[in-house]
Amino acid sequence: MGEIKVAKTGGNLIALGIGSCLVITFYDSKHRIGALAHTMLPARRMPFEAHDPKDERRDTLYASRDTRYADIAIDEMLKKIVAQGAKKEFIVAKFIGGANMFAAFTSKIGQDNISCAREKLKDVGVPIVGECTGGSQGRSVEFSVASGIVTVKTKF
Amino acid sequence: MAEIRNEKLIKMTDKAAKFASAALSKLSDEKVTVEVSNTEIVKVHRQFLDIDPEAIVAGIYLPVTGDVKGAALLVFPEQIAYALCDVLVKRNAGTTHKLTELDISALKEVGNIICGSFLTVFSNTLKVKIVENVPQFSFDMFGAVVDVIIAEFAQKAEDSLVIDVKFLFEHTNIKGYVVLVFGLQEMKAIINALEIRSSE
Repeated sequence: MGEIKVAKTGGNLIALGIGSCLVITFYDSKHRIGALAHTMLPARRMPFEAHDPKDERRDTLYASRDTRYADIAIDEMLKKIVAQGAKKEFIVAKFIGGANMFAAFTSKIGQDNISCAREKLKDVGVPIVGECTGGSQGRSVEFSVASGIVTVKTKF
Repeated sequence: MAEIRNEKLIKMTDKAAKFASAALSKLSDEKVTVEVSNTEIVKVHRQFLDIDPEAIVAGIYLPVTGDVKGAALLVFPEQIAYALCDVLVKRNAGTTHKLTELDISALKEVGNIICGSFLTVFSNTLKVKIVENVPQFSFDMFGAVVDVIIAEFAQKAEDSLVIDVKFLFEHTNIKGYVVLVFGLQEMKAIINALEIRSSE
Protein backbone atom coordinates (compact mmCIF):
# COMPACT_ATOMS: atom_id res chain seq x y z
CA MET A 1 0.00 0.00 0.00
CA GLY A 2 1.18 3.46 -0.80
CA GLU A 3 3.15 2.19 -3.78
CA ILE A 4 3.33 4.22 -6.98
CA LYS A 5 4.42 2.42 -10.12
CA VAL A 6 5.15 3.98 -13.50
CA ALA A 7 5.53 2.06 -16.76
CA LYS A 8 6.32 3.08 -20.34
CA THR A 9 5.03 1.55 -23.55
CA GLY A 10 4.55 -2.04 -22.51
CA GLY A 11 3.90 -3.99 -19.38
CA ASN A 12 1.01 -4.24 -17.01
CA LEU A 13 0.56 -2.55 -13.66
CA ILE A 14 -1.48 -4.56 -11.19
CA ALA A 15 -3.07 -4.24 -7.77
CA LEU A 16 -4.75 -7.30 -6.26
CA GLY A 17 -7.55 -7.63 -3.74
CA ILE A 18 -8.64 -4.03 -3.29
CA GLY A 19 -11.39 -3.27 -0.76
CA SER A 20 -11.73 0.16 0.83
CA CYS A 21 -8.39 1.20 -0.69
CA LEU A 22 -8.40 3.21 -3.87
CA VAL A 23 -6.31 2.48 -6.93
CA ILE A 24 -5.71 5.52 -9.11
CA THR A 25 -4.33 5.22 -12.63
CA PHE A 26 -2.89 7.96 -14.83
CA TYR A 27 -2.40 7.50 -18.55
CA ASP A 28 -0.85 9.62 -21.24
CA SER A 29 -2.06 7.89 -24.41
CA LYS A 30 0.08 10.05 -26.70
CA HIS A 31 3.34 8.97 -25.08
CA ARG A 32 1.99 5.62 -23.79
CA ILE A 33 3.09 6.16 -20.23
CA GLY A 34 1.01 4.93 -17.32
CA ALA A 35 1.13 5.14 -13.55
CA LEU A 36 -0.74 3.35 -10.80
CA ALA A 37 -1.05 4.31 -7.13
CA HIS A 38 -2.46 2.06 -4.43
CA THR A 39 -3.77 4.44 -1.79
CA MET A 40 -5.32 3.55 1.52
CA LEU A 41 -6.55 6.71 3.20
CA PRO A 42 -8.18 9.99 2.22
CA ALA A 43 -6.42 13.33 2.74
CA ARG A 44 -4.13 13.44 5.71
CA ARG A 45 -5.96 14.87 8.70
CA MET A 46 -4.53 18.31 9.31
CA PRO A 47 -4.31 19.90 12.72
CA PHE A 48 -5.23 23.19 11.03
CA GLU A 49 -6.53 24.35 7.70
CA ALA A 50 -3.74 24.39 5.18
CA HIS A 51 -5.42 24.96 1.88
CA ASP A 52 -3.56 28.17 1.14
CA PRO A 53 -0.56 27.19 -1.02
CA LYS A 54 1.32 30.21 0.39
CA ASP A 55 0.90 28.99 3.95
CA GLU A 56 4.39 27.86 4.93
CA ARG A 57 3.02 25.37 7.46
CA ARG A 58 1.83 23.38 4.47
CA ASP A 59 5.38 22.36 3.64
CA THR A 60 5.83 20.78 7.06
CA LEU A 61 2.52 18.96 6.83
CA TYR A 62 3.33 17.50 3.48
CA ALA A 63 6.97 16.86 4.28
CA SER A 64 6.47 13.15 4.93
CA ARG A 65 5.02 12.62 1.44
CA ASP A 66 3.17 9.59 2.74
CA THR A 67 1.66 8.14 -0.42
CA ARG A 68 -0.79 5.98 1.47
CA TYR A 69 -2.91 9.16 1.45
CA ALA A 70 -4.81 9.71 -1.78
CA ASP A 71 -4.11 13.45 -2.07
CA ILE A 72 -0.37 13.08 -1.54
CA ALA A 73 -0.23 10.05 -3.83
CA ILE A 74 -1.86 12.03 -6.65
CA ASP A 75 0.74 14.80 -6.33
CA GLU A 76 3.58 12.30 -6.29
CA MET A 77 2.18 10.23 -9.15
CA LEU A 78 1.85 13.33 -11.29
CA LYS A 79 5.48 14.26 -10.62
CA LYS A 80 6.69 10.76 -11.41
CA ILE A 81 4.78 10.29 -14.65
CA VAL A 82 5.82 13.74 -15.90
CA ALA A 83 9.44 12.93 -15.00
CA GLN A 84 9.13 9.87 -17.25
CA GLY A 85 8.09 12.01 -20.21
CA ALA A 86 4.31 12.29 -19.93
CA LYS A 87 2.71 15.67 -20.60
CA LYS A 88 0.18 16.87 -18.11
CA GLU A 89 -2.27 18.00 -20.77
CA PHE A 90 -2.57 14.44 -22.09
CA ILE A 91 -2.97 12.69 -18.74
CA VAL A 92 -6.33 11.18 -17.80
CA ALA A 93 -7.26 9.36 -14.60
CA LYS A 94 -9.31 6.35 -13.62
CA PHE A 95 -9.94 5.08 -10.14
CA ILE A 96 -11.06 1.79 -8.70
CA GLY A 97 -11.99 0.60 -5.22
CA GLY A 98 -13.43 2.43 -2.24
CA ALA A 99 -15.70 -0.47 -1.30
CA ASN A 100 -17.32 -0.98 2.06
CA MET A 101 -16.59 -4.64 2.72
CA PHE A 102 -18.49 -4.81 6.00
CA ALA A 103 -22.05 -3.56 5.56
CA ALA A 104 -22.59 -2.08 9.01
CA PHE A 105 -19.10 -0.63 9.32
CA THR A 106 -19.46 3.05 10.09
CA SER A 107 -16.11 4.62 9.24
CA LYS A 108 -16.84 5.05 5.48
CA ILE A 109 -13.14 5.09 4.64
CA GLY A 110 -13.88 3.80 1.14
CA GLN A 111 -16.32 6.59 0.38
CA ASP A 112 -13.94 9.18 1.86
CA ASN A 113 -11.16 7.86 -0.37
CA ILE A 114 -13.34 8.30 -3.46
CA SER A 115 -14.41 11.84 -2.52
CA CYS A 116 -10.87 12.88 -1.70
CA ALA A 117 -9.46 11.55 -4.98
CA ARG A 118 -12.21 13.19 -7.00
CA GLU A 119 -11.59 16.55 -5.33
CA LYS A 120 -7.81 16.33 -5.64
CA LEU A 121 -7.94 15.36 -9.31
CA LYS A 122 -10.14 18.36 -9.94
CA ASP A 123 -7.62 20.55 -8.10
CA VAL A 124 -4.68 19.35 -10.17
CA GLY A 125 -6.67 19.48 -13.42
CA VAL A 126 -6.52 15.81 -14.39
CA PRO A 127 -9.80 14.65 -15.95
CA ILE A 128 -11.45 11.48 -14.69
CA VAL A 129 -12.41 9.25 -17.60
CA GLY A 130 -13.56 6.16 -15.74
CA GLU A 131 -14.25 4.74 -12.34
CA CYS A 132 -15.38 1.50 -10.77
CA THR A 133 -15.98 2.33 -7.13
CA GLY A 134 -18.12 1.73 -4.08
CA GLY A 135 -20.28 -1.30 -3.39
CA SER A 136 -19.20 -4.14 -1.17
CA GLN A 137 -17.04 -6.23 -3.49
CA GLY A 138 -13.30 -6.69 -3.58
CA ARG A 139 -11.59 -5.88 -6.87
CA SER A 140 -8.34 -6.67 -8.66
CA VAL A 141 -6.94 -4.23 -11.19
CA GLU A 142 -4.80 -4.82 -14.26
CA PHE A 143 -3.68 -1.80 -16.24
CA SER A 144 -2.24 -2.45 -19.69
CA VAL A 145 0.09 0.44 -20.41
CA ALA A 146 0.33 -0.46 -24.12
CA SER A 147 -3.41 -0.03 -24.67
CA GLY A 148 -4.43 2.12 -21.72
CA ILE A 149 -7.12 -0.43 -20.86
CA VAL A 150 -7.84 -0.97 -17.18
CA THR A 151 -9.43 -4.32 -16.41
CA VAL A 152 -11.24 -4.78 -13.11
CA LYS A 153 -11.97 -8.27 -11.83
CA THR A 154 -14.25 -9.34 -9.00
CA LYS A 155 -14.60 -12.83 -7.61
CA PHE A 156 -18.39 -13.01 -7.66
CA MET B 1 8.96 -4.07 15.12
CA ALA B 2 9.37 -6.18 18.23
CA GLU B 3 8.09 -9.33 19.80
CA ILE B 4 6.76 -8.78 23.28
CA ARG B 5 8.09 -10.86 26.15
CA ASN B 6 5.77 -9.92 28.92
CA GLU B 7 4.90 -12.55 31.52
CA LYS B 8 1.57 -11.01 32.40
CA LEU B 9 0.51 -10.81 28.78
CA ILE B 10 1.61 -14.39 28.10
CA LYS B 11 -0.37 -15.63 31.11
CA MET B 12 -3.42 -13.71 29.98
CA THR B 13 -3.32 -14.94 26.41
CA ASP B 14 -2.70 -18.55 27.52
CA LYS B 15 -5.69 -18.37 29.83
CA ALA B 16 -7.86 -16.88 27.08
CA ALA B 17 -6.72 -19.57 24.64
CA LYS B 18 -7.78 -22.27 27.13
CA PHE B 19 -11.22 -20.66 27.53
CA ALA B 20 -11.63 -20.44 23.78
CA SER B 21 -10.48 -24.06 23.31
CA ALA B 22 -13.04 -25.30 25.84
CA ALA B 23 -15.89 -23.26 24.37
CA LEU B 24 -15.16 -24.26 20.77
CA SER B 25 -14.78 -27.92 21.75
CA LYS B 26 -18.19 -27.77 23.37
CA LEU B 27 -19.72 -26.06 20.34
CA SER B 28 -18.31 -28.52 17.84
CA ASP B 29 -18.18 -31.77 19.84
CA GLU B 30 -14.55 -32.25 18.98
CA LYS B 31 -11.23 -31.28 20.55
CA VAL B 32 -10.18 -27.80 19.52
CA THR B 33 -6.79 -26.31 20.32
CA VAL B 34 -6.42 -22.55 20.39
CA GLU B 35 -2.96 -21.09 20.77
CA VAL B 36 -1.28 -17.71 20.60
CA SER B 37 1.40 -17.93 17.95
CA ASN B 38 2.79 -14.43 18.25
CA THR B 39 2.32 -11.18 20.14
CA GLU B 40 4.06 -8.08 18.91
CA ILE B 41 3.95 -4.34 18.53
CA VAL B 42 3.94 -3.61 14.83
CA LYS B 43 2.64 -1.33 12.17
CA VAL B 44 -0.44 -3.09 10.87
CA HIS B 45 0.27 -4.03 7.30
CA ARG B 46 -1.17 -6.10 4.50
CA GLN B 47 1.20 -9.00 4.88
CA PHE B 48 0.35 -9.81 8.48
CA LEU B 49 -1.05 -13.11 7.32
CA ASP B 50 0.70 -15.00 4.59
CA ILE B 51 -2.33 -15.34 2.30
CA ASP B 52 -2.67 -14.51 -1.41
CA PRO B 53 -4.50 -11.14 -1.66
CA GLU B 54 -6.87 -12.64 -4.24
CA ALA B 55 -7.67 -15.78 -2.22
CA ILE B 56 -11.29 -15.98 -1.15
CA VAL B 57 -11.71 -15.86 2.61
CA ALA B 58 -14.48 -15.52 5.12
CA GLY B 59 -13.64 -12.52 7.28
CA ILE B 60 -15.30 -11.69 10.56
CA TYR B 61 -14.57 -8.25 11.89
CA LEU B 62 -15.35 -7.35 15.49
CA PRO B 63 -14.87 -3.74 16.50
CA VAL B 64 -13.94 -3.23 20.15
CA THR B 65 -14.82 -0.13 22.12
CA GLY B 66 -14.83 0.97 25.77
CA ASP B 67 -11.62 2.01 27.52
CA VAL B 68 -9.71 0.34 24.72
CA LYS B 69 -10.26 0.80 21.01
CA GLY B 70 -9.39 -2.08 18.80
CA ALA B 71 -10.65 -4.82 16.58
CA ALA B 72 -10.46 -8.48 15.96
CA LEU B 73 -10.34 -9.98 12.51
CA LEU B 74 -10.92 -13.67 11.97
CA VAL B 75 -9.95 -15.10 8.65
CA PHE B 76 -10.98 -18.48 7.32
CA PRO B 77 -9.76 -19.49 3.87
CA GLU B 78 -12.72 -20.49 1.66
CA GLN B 79 -12.43 -24.27 1.94
CA ILE B 80 -11.75 -24.04 5.68
CA ALA B 81 -14.88 -21.93 6.13
CA TYR B 82 -16.94 -24.59 4.32
CA ALA B 83 -15.40 -27.39 6.38
CA LEU B 84 -16.04 -25.47 9.59
CA CYS B 85 -19.68 -24.99 8.61
CA ASP B 86 -20.01 -28.74 8.02
CA VAL B 87 -18.86 -29.28 11.61
CA LEU B 88 -20.85 -26.48 13.24
CA VAL B 89 -24.11 -27.05 11.38
CA LYS B 90 -23.72 -30.85 11.67
CA ARG B 91 -23.61 -31.63 7.97
CA ASN B 92 -21.69 -34.46 6.36
CA ALA B 93 -18.08 -33.51 5.65
CA GLY B 94 -17.60 -31.89 2.26
CA THR B 95 -21.22 -30.90 1.70
CA THR B 96 -21.00 -27.12 2.17
CA HIS B 97 -20.12 -25.29 -1.05
CA LYS B 98 -21.97 -22.05 -0.47
CA LEU B 99 -22.57 -20.12 2.73
CA THR B 100 -26.13 -19.74 3.97
CA GLU B 101 -27.30 -17.27 6.60
CA LEU B 102 -27.07 -20.09 9.14
CA ASP B 103 -23.46 -20.77 8.14
CA ILE B 104 -22.56 -17.09 8.42
CA SER B 105 -24.19 -16.93 11.81
CA ALA B 106 -22.22 -20.01 12.94
CA LEU B 107 -18.94 -18.50 11.75
CA LYS B 108 -19.73 -15.25 13.55
CA GLU B 109 -20.35 -17.28 16.68
CA VAL B 110 -16.87 -18.77 16.41
CA GLY B 111 -15.59 -15.22 16.20
CA ASN B 112 -17.53 -14.20 19.24
CA ILE B 113 -16.22 -17.16 21.22
CA ILE B 114 -12.57 -16.68 20.37
CA CYS B 115 -12.52 -12.92 20.68
CA GLY B 116 -14.81 -12.91 23.68
CA SER B 117 -12.43 -15.23 25.50
CA PHE B 118 -9.48 -12.91 24.98
CA LEU B 119 -11.37 -9.73 25.68
CA THR B 120 -12.97 -11.08 28.85
CA VAL B 121 -9.60 -12.14 30.25
CA PHE B 122 -8.07 -8.77 29.31
CA SER B 123 -10.95 -6.89 30.87
CA ASN B 124 -11.05 -8.90 34.10
CA THR B 125 -7.31 -9.04 34.64
CA LEU B 126 -6.50 -5.44 33.78
CA LYS B 127 -9.73 -3.93 35.12
CA VAL B 128 -10.49 -2.06 31.92
CA LYS B 129 -13.87 -1.83 30.25
CA ILE B 130 -13.88 -3.59 26.89
CA VAL B 131 -17.04 -3.72 24.83
CA GLU B 132 -17.24 -6.22 22.00
CA ASN B 133 -19.50 -4.99 19.21
CA VAL B 134 -21.67 -6.86 16.72
CA PRO B 135 -19.54 -8.94 14.35
CA GLN B 136 -19.48 -8.00 10.68
CA PHE B 137 -19.07 -10.57 7.93
CA SER B 138 -17.50 -10.45 4.49
CA PHE B 139 -16.77 -13.26 2.02
CA ASP B 140 -14.40 -11.99 -0.62
CA MET B 141 -10.75 -11.55 -1.58
CA PHE B 142 -8.37 -11.54 1.38
CA GLY B 143 -6.75 -8.25 0.39
CA ALA B 144 -10.13 -6.53 0.20
CA VAL B 145 -11.29 -7.96 3.51
CA VAL B 146 -8.21 -6.81 5.43
CA ASP B 147 -8.07 -3.34 3.80
CA VAL B 148 -10.55 -1.88 6.22
CA ILE B 149 -8.78 -3.00 9.39
CA ILE B 150 -5.42 -1.78 8.09
CA ALA B 151 -6.85 1.57 7.02
CA GLU B 152 -8.64 2.00 10.32
CA PHE B 153 -5.48 1.43 12.33
CA ALA B 154 -3.20 3.32 10.01
CA GLN B 155 -5.44 6.31 10.64
CA LYS B 156 -5.52 6.03 14.39
CA ALA B 157 -2.18 4.76 15.52
CA GLU B 158 1.14 4.10 13.94
CA ASP B 159 1.87 1.07 16.09
CA SER B 160 -0.56 -1.53 17.31
CA LEU B 161 -0.51 -4.47 19.68
CA VAL B 162 -1.15 -7.47 17.46
CA ILE B 163 -1.96 -10.89 18.86
CA ASP B 164 -1.95 -13.74 16.35
CA VAL B 165 -4.09 -16.69 17.32
CA LYS B 166 -4.29 -20.02 15.55
CA PHE B 167 -6.80 -22.74 16.15
CA LEU B 168 -7.09 -26.36 15.12
CA PHE B 169 -10.08 -28.66 15.14
CA GLU B 170 -8.09 -31.83 15.78
CA HIS B 171 -10.46 -34.43 14.30
CA THR B 172 -11.34 -32.59 11.10
CA ASN B 173 -7.99 -30.76 10.89
CA ILE B 174 -9.66 -27.36 10.38
CA LYS B 175 -7.26 -24.48 10.91
CA GLY B 176 -7.94 -20.77 11.06
CA TYR B 177 -6.38 -17.46 12.00
CA VAL B 178 -7.43 -14.64 14.25
CA VAL B 179 -5.69 -11.32 14.56
CA LEU B 180 -6.53 -9.13 17.51
CA VAL B 181 -5.37 -5.56 17.00
CA PHE B 182 -5.37 -2.76 19.52
CA GLY B 183 -4.27 0.76 18.72
CA LEU B 184 -1.46 1.67 21.07
CA GLN B 185 -2.31 5.33 21.33
CA GLU B 186 -5.71 4.39 22.64
CA MET B 187 -4.71 1.64 25.01
CA LYS B 188 -2.29 3.36 27.33
CA ALA B 189 -4.19 1.73 30.19
CA ILE B 190 -3.27 -1.73 28.99
CA ILE B 191 0.29 -0.84 28.17
CA ASN B 192 0.76 0.72 31.58
CA ALA B 193 -0.92 -2.18 33.35
CA LEU B 194 1.27 -4.68 31.58
CA GLU B 195 4.39 -2.51 31.87
CA ILE B 196 5.11 -3.65 28.33
CA ARG B 197 8.62 -3.22 27.13
CA SER B 198 9.39 -4.43 23.67
CA SER B 199 12.49 -6.57 23.20
CA GLU B 200 14.07 -4.37 20.52
